Amino acid sequence: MSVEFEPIARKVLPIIYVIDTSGSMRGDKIASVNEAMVETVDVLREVSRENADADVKIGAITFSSGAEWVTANGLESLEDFVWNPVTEGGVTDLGAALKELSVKLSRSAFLKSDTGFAVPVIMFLSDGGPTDNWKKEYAAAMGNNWFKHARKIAIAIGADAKEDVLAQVTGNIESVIRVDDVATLKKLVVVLTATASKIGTQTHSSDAGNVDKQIVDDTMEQMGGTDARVETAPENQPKPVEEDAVSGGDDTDEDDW
Amino acid sequence: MAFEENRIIKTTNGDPIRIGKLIGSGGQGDVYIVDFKGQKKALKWYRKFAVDKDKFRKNLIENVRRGRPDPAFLWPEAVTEEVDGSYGYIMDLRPEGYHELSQIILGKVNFPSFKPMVEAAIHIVNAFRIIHGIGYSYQDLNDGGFFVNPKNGDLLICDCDNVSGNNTDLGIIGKPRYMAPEIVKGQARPNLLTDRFSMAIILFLLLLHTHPLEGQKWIDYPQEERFTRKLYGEEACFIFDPTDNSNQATKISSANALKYWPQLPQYLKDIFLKSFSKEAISTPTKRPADVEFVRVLTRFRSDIVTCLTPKCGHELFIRGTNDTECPYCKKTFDVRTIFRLAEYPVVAAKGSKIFRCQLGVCNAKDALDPVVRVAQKTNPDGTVKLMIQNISGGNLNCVDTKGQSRVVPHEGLIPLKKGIKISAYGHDFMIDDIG
Repeated sequence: MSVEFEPIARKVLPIIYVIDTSGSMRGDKIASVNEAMVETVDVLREVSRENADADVKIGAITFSSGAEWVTANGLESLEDFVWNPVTEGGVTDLGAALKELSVKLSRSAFLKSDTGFAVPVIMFLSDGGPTDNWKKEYAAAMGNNWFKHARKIAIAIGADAKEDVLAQVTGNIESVIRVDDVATLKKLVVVLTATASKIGTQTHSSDAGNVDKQIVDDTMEQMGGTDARVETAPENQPKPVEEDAVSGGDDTDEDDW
Repeated sequence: MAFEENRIIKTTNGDPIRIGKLIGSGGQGDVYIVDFKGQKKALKWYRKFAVDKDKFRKNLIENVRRGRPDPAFLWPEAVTEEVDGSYGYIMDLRPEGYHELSQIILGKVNFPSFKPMVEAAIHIVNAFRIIHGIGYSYQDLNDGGFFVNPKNGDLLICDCDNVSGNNTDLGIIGKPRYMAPEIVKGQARPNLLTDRFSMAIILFLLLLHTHPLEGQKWIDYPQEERFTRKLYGEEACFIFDPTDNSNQATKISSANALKYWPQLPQYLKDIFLKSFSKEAISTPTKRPADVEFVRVLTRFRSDIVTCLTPKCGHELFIRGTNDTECPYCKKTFDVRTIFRLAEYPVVAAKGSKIFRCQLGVCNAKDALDPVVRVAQKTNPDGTVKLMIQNISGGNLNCVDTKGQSRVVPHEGLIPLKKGIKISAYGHDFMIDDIG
């Protein structure tokens, strides 16, 4: 006989990928993203098993002409999740993806759990500029506390990616990582995932700064150990959209989460 | 940076270290197997510093100089020279059979019985009693810092790089969910008293597989900075707080605690009620001293028995010497013989053990020295009976039921018979029957 306990209750930590599948992703880029996601699922599965602080789940949405959830039934547990390759074609409707996030990041949609949720991590991958009215959808999404407080990080793929747009979506230019070659892209997605999914499991120091920056810094530090060509975007980018314009005042009331 | 295998680096004393395989990576650094002075050791190499690098290094060197306070610590044995702007330190490798506490809490590794689980808890408390006693604080107690052997409860404590003089500010504040409320609120930096709060969390997690501050509010609050500051800081509230049910245990958050808490003896509940009381949350000096936990947990170990009902055989916790009902088969556990110690009686059942700290005041280092145990002896005719065995490592002076003095050597047996008196370390205790 051994001592019998129920598995300890954990908050669900959603890791959500928002993937640009417009026509310009054709070829190496989309192939690289698909390869990266296969590896990423393995990494998340491992983290999910080992992480005593959070139960990691995956969500993914693609956007091109419109947006479509890969995980249409909600966040998925990693145990049985398999990445089916996504295909490219169409324009870059980032706003459509933001609208979906705003709708589904809700206790009446994807965020159903007895134990509740940790702040989601949302990773944007894009190689171009938006073709729809993304600003309107962004403003609406910022009215959703889960989206507003999510740890938003973006990977800008290649020279045509609009880093200023991604900076506004993530809320911070330092949360945008630019990558110019597909080999690095693949590794970056995996490392970024591994780092972001372990947030909250590590010792803090008194001057750690904000968590999004920590994720990016840790990721860059690990990428730096290779010959990867990765850079965070330069500082002189436009300021993010003013949050208060859309979100209202202090919202510490937990009931509306 | 990552080291190539077979690269040689040096310690601050110039001793060579040959780098071997990378065996782990954490948030701050990597761990390699290395050859050092003819032995396989572990090298923790920092990839980055979230804190003052030079101050941290100075502290490490000081820890090496002062030496390992207790064998339970995987203590820094040497600090390396700087290579490419970083450094590391040498320590013992984690032996086979030891698992991270986080894996135990997750239920991936199970204890075969409650006794080794409680022994692991006792080892944790005693190790902290020792370092606190010499003026150190550990500063970063969390589920990643402990390796436990579930078979026997043996314990190793790693991450001793943060250990420093009490109230030394190295810049580390700890891991979320394990920090004392005053640190979460930004009112204090790690010290001996914050260690105590974190230790009580670890003990509760280990014994009940439940976080003591994660009840109803934990379910209601999203895990986001403003809410975690409330849950573990501003509004920190024990799930069994008798004065405040706002964060009470729920089936979802606290299933294990709801199952086992009612079975615990009152003295064990009391020390947790005290550790997580409103008073101890707001006033760190009101937290139970380490030695109080040592005493309570060693007593608890003595109160874990196996139900004697055929086909039941579950472990249960004695709550009173003659009125404990087995929660599984509902039969009353029949206690016949006890050790009458100065402070409380201990049931003499198979597997019972008396530790030195249960006899009277002693040094932290000697607290867990075993004195006697109750063992099952098989007679030549195949019948079995319980005997007391001297496991103190030396002679025990006894007085038998006829008043005769007897000397029992190490591993010698003493009958389990009312009226026998045993003397050890200047304290006497009697074997007695229950009325």
